[in-house]
Amino acid sequence: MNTLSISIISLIISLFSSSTSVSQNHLVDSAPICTTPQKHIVEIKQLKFIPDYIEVNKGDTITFINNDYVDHDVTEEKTKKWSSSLMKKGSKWSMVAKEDADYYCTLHVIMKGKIRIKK
Amino acid sequence: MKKHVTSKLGLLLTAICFLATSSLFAQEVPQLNDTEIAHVGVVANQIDISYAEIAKKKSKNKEVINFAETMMRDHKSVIEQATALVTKLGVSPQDNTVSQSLLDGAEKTKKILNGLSARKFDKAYIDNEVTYHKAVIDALNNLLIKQSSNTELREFLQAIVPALETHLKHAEMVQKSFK
Repeated sequence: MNTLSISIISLIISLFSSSTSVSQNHLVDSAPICTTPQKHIVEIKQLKFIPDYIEVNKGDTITFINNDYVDHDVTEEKTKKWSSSLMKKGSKWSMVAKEDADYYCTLHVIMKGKIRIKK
Repeated sequence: MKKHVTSKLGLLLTAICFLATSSLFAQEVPQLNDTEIAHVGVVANQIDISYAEIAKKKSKNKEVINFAETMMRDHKSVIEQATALVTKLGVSPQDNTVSQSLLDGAEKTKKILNGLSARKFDKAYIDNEVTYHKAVIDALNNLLIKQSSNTELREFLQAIVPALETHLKHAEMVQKSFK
């Protein structure tokens, strides 16, 4: 094995080693270690919840903002266990997500959305 | 027999509503300026509020009353914003043949609705709402938006369409419960 061959092998080992290190760091960085509750926005516009499907962690806060030109509300659909009450144009309402929920606007009953808790 | 009578009433209301809006789709398409378009917009909203006011008085059906209250609230909101827009633009809505045609049709429709029993009223009111919203959406898309020359007015009219489409879907959903 001449000097050139040894250098090439060393370079390959060095690159491989470096790549593994980056990869490991990436894995550590993206691990779900964040426990701080996150904030999410759902905009109400042109009689739609945008987005109408949202995945959040339990304990995250979801803020609904009525940017429409008519009043709305945000109400849990199955048993109406929670509701924003009437939201005037430009108003906001926040809730802490505790469980999966399907919700709708009681004023415009075809306006619907879903909250899903990440597993 | 009762179903037949209710069905005939529905057809009559549909015919009146069609005649009231037919001028919008006549072979000779009416040419409207922005002040006239604004007037048609306000009148169309006022008419639906007037239908909803009758529903609030006559209906005992929770879904129908909820729908009527939404129509009153939403159409009032649209009128308020249309008024704010024309004030900003410094124009006054002008009466015109299309507005008059709508108002004439609405008077006939209200007379029929007011003469119905509560039970027959619910279906007739919702059937009329379906027909009326379809006609107004068509008028907006095929006449009012196309003919409006002011950008803000055109954008305002375009922004109303999704609300009317939602009203239409809501009315169709209530309509299904009567079949």
